[in-house]
Amino acid sequence: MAEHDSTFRVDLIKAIPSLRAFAISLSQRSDRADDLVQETLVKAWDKQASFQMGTNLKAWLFTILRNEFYSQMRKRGREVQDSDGVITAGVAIHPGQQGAVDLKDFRTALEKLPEDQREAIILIGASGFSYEEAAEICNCAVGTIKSRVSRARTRLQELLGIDGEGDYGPDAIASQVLGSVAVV
Amino acid sequence: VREQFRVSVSRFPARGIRRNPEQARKRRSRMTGMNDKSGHGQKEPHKPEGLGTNSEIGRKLKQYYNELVTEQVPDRFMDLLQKLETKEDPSSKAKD
Repeated sequence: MAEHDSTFRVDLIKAIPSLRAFAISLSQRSDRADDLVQETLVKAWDKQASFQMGTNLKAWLFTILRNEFYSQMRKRGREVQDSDGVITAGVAIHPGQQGAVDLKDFRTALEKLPEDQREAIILIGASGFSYEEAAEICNCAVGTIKSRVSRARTRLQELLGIDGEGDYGPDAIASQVLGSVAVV
Repeated sequence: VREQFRVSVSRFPARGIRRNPEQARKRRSRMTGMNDKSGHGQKEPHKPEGLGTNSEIGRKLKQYYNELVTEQVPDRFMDLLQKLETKEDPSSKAKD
């Protein structure tokens, strides 16, 4: 009895960690993020009849969560972004002595991105969605996602002082080495 | 110089890795089989430009996200789902 419900519940439970991660990435606040997840679970439960079995549950849930996030933001009158009053443009975070970008610095840089870019780069670079799935979640064109990801990446590189060139992002020590040895 | 470079870059103090065997495995394979430039992320379904495991931003993103994903899920969600299911299916009340 109610076997379908139980399966659905199990699937929801499995999705919670990624939903939370996405919610925190979006809202930048864990209390608000958990409310978002809660709201998402309730909505998903109520709408489970409209979910087509065999399709991508995770993407469906992310869509619900994202819609919820933006509708809450609208209700709140958009008090997000730049909440600390700092003008973010051009504020670079310089990586610490050992060169490797610290996770804390990375988080700070991520916070400085506009939501649309942040969500795009998270969906593509971390949550493991394809461009097509991300476009569906964000209700926009694939090309839009691509350009948001690209802008987000460039912005993060600027903020973190990472050389956009190549995949091996020089750390401070490495660039000193390169500097003194003359680049090959 | 390039070789040293790669090794030094892949030796980040990397918090959160211990908790993620998948990423640790990827890291190891990066450190060993490094000569092939395109040899990263064979298992990735898509290769977002510049966000692969060889890029600083790509790695940090995953590290950031993995830390969040591996956080303990608060009990409230389990309770919530339990409640939703009970509410949905009144017959389950009967069987204690």
